Amino acid sequence: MKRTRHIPKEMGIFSVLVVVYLLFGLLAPTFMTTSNTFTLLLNGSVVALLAIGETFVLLTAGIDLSVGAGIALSGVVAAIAIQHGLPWYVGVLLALASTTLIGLFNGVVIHYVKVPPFIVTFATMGVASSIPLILTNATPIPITSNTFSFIGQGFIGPIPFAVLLLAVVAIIAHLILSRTVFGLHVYSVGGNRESARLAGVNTAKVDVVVYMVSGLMAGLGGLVDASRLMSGYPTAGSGTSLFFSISAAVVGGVSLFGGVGTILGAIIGAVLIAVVSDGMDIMNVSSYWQPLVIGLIILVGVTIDTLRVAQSQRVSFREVFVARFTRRAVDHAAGEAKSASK
Amino acid sequence: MTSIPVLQVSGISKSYNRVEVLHHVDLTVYPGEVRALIGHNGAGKSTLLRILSGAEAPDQGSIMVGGEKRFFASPRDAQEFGVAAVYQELRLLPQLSVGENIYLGHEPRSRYGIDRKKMFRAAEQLLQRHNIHIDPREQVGRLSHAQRQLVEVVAALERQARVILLDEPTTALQADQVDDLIRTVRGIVADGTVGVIFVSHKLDEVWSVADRLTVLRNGDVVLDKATREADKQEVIRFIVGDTHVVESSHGLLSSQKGSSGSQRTESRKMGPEILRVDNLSSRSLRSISLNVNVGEVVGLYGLEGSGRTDFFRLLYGLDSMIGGRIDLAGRPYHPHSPKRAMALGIAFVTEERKKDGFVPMLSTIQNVALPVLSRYQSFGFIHRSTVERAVLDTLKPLQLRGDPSLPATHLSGGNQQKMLFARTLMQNPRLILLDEPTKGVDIGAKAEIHRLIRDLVQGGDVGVMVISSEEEELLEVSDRIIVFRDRTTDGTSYQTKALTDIDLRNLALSEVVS
Repeated sequence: MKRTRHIPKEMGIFSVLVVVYLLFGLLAPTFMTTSNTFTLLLNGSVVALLAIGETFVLLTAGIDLSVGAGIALSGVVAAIAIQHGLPWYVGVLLALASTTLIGLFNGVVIHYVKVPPFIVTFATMGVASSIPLILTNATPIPITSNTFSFIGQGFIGPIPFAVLLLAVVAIIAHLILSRTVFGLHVYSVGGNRESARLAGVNTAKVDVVVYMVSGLMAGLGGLVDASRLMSGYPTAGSGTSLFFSISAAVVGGVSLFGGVGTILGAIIGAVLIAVVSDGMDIMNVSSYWQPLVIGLIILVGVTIDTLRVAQSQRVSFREVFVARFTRRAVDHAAGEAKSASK
Repeated sequence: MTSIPVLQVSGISKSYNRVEVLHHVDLTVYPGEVRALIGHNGAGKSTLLRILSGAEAPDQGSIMVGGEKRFFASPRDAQEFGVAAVYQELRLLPQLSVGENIYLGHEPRSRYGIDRKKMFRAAEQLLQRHNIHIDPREQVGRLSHAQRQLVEVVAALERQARVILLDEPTTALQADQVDDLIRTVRGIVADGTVGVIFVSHKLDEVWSVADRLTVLRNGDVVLDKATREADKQEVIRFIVGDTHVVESSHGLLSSQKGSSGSQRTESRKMGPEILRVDNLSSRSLRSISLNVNVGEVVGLYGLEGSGRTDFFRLLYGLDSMIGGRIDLAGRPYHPHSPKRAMALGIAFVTEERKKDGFVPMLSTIQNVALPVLSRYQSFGFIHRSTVERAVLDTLKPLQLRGDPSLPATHLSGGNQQKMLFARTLMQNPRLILLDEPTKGVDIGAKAEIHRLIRDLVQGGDVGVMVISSEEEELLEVSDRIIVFRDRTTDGTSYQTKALTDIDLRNLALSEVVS
């Protein structure tokens, strides 16, 4: 009993990742090489960065739909700054500041005005995605700084810089969530907001900071993206980035209803998605199939994981599922009904 | 009674991980009979209920409904065969009306779909037949918990239930609502077709509602007797097991209030005043005046809506004050936020433990340490081993049963309450506010919590206020009692030794009546 408890919850999804990786390795001989592995990690780094930010937000029972738009904003801001003769690092800082500001705005409106996160970030998704279009008149802005290209194209030894960057960011995020007071506060706000508040947790700080983190991650993702293309694309990130980033977190065991999940899980989820995407590319499957496959993986993954927990705790599938995903929603509905009746 | 039992359970056994939770349990309910099921938390009541309602299958034994052997593969099966369970967490849909909830899944139909007129008429008649005054068109979300419970019982009857399982139905109810419920339950069995199993921790209720009672202890039926032939002391002995009675006998129930209370007040000197409230008013309170001294437990009594909980919420910074004055340890205090209240030494344990008491996914250790984490960190990083040691040291005297490193949901209700006590102790408060500290807690843990409350003030540098709707409990733990009426009190207090539970109920009503 005691021993089973210490198997990390991420083992399930991690073994899926290993199986899928080996499977592609068998099917395509060029897949399981070091260079291709780093390529797929590099390709997945943007989604993984977004998934880290999304994890912070999801843990508080929120959601950030504006991360995809943040990619374009960040890239375009950096490109314009560099175009105007500013040094590359100023461009980087401005880019990060712009998306972090979007996050700040999200957090403040969500916490103080009490507009649901879905609505607020849905709105800022629209706003943040049109700003780059307005700024650039919908034409990509080329970036000329060679140093800037290092972010997305540079290597340190055999490892792409962006992958190293991702690793460092992931470790920091993991330490924050698992070791710090702030991290525990994030979990407590998502687990039971009211009880956290009564225990003296500064819920305003938690709400605002998690969206800022998500914004910052979108900004970093945008920089990696812009650096790989060496231009600020006003429509970057408007495709599957948002879908893949939330998918990564959810596949990795982060609950959409708060309080449950880890950075490690989200990263494994992001790598799994990167493996599937890359594997399918190598096997010449049209990229239009990727979201379909990822969607199925989410369904199967979450189902298997729920079954596994049900079996280990000897309760029904439904109970686990309800406990994991809907309990909060039900509570909310009951609470709303209560306050409406007053 | 010579008729066929509506429910006959024989030789039910159930084990989890080779730990036997139920051991050859027999239970018989005749039509027209209310059978009380009592026992400690962990005695096996909930497992038995889950088996009877089809949520779980027994390892051994058989269930007969109306004389026919049945096997329940799911709660749906159980309902099909006429066994319906009403749990503490109700299953009604708050957005739908009472009538729609009652007929959910088998709505009366006309050619064009649901015949709403017919449905509401039928619902109205049904409610009237059971003397329940609720408009079937009312949205369930707007009903009180007590009303919802009645609706759920009626809905079960409408589905031809022959056995109704009520799982601690009075936990969330006020005294008058309990009377209503008991009357309804007696009404249901009156025509002699339906049997009820009534799970309760409150013995007074058992005596007023049940014909027979079954006591479970550690998975065994240890007593099965007609209620009128049973003696309360005897039943308590069977519930707790003999060894427990000696240490906690003074804390158990109404009849035993007495000498310990009076000795207490005389033998200890009160400390200085920790809280003084003058003419305090807010949106929901008017001109409240009272005071609390260090070293005493002040009980707050009153009817539902008398303002006791609102008063706590205001002190804790959850509501804003409009007028009046609060002094905390001699200094003016203006409530502003829970964080500030905590910083000034106020600790609050809420009534709705599950709703806002703790964070279910966090471990017991994390839950206990949550308010005081800032003490155990450098640069934002938590010193995990120090926190763990501090929490375990605090938990030790509370005798918490369960693994504190697991999520708090693994604890039973009584142990969750102890966890919140530990959290309170960690804060080193000067003023502790306890709102219904033993709600939903079993009898044994209740006595322990009463002892803990007394221990809080023995240390000497803290004052405690307790809200409870159980008169016996307030008389047991308080030095003096202040009665709230109609959202106010003038702070007149009554020495516990001079009071009975009847006095208290009268005091709560007197002003309203006159």
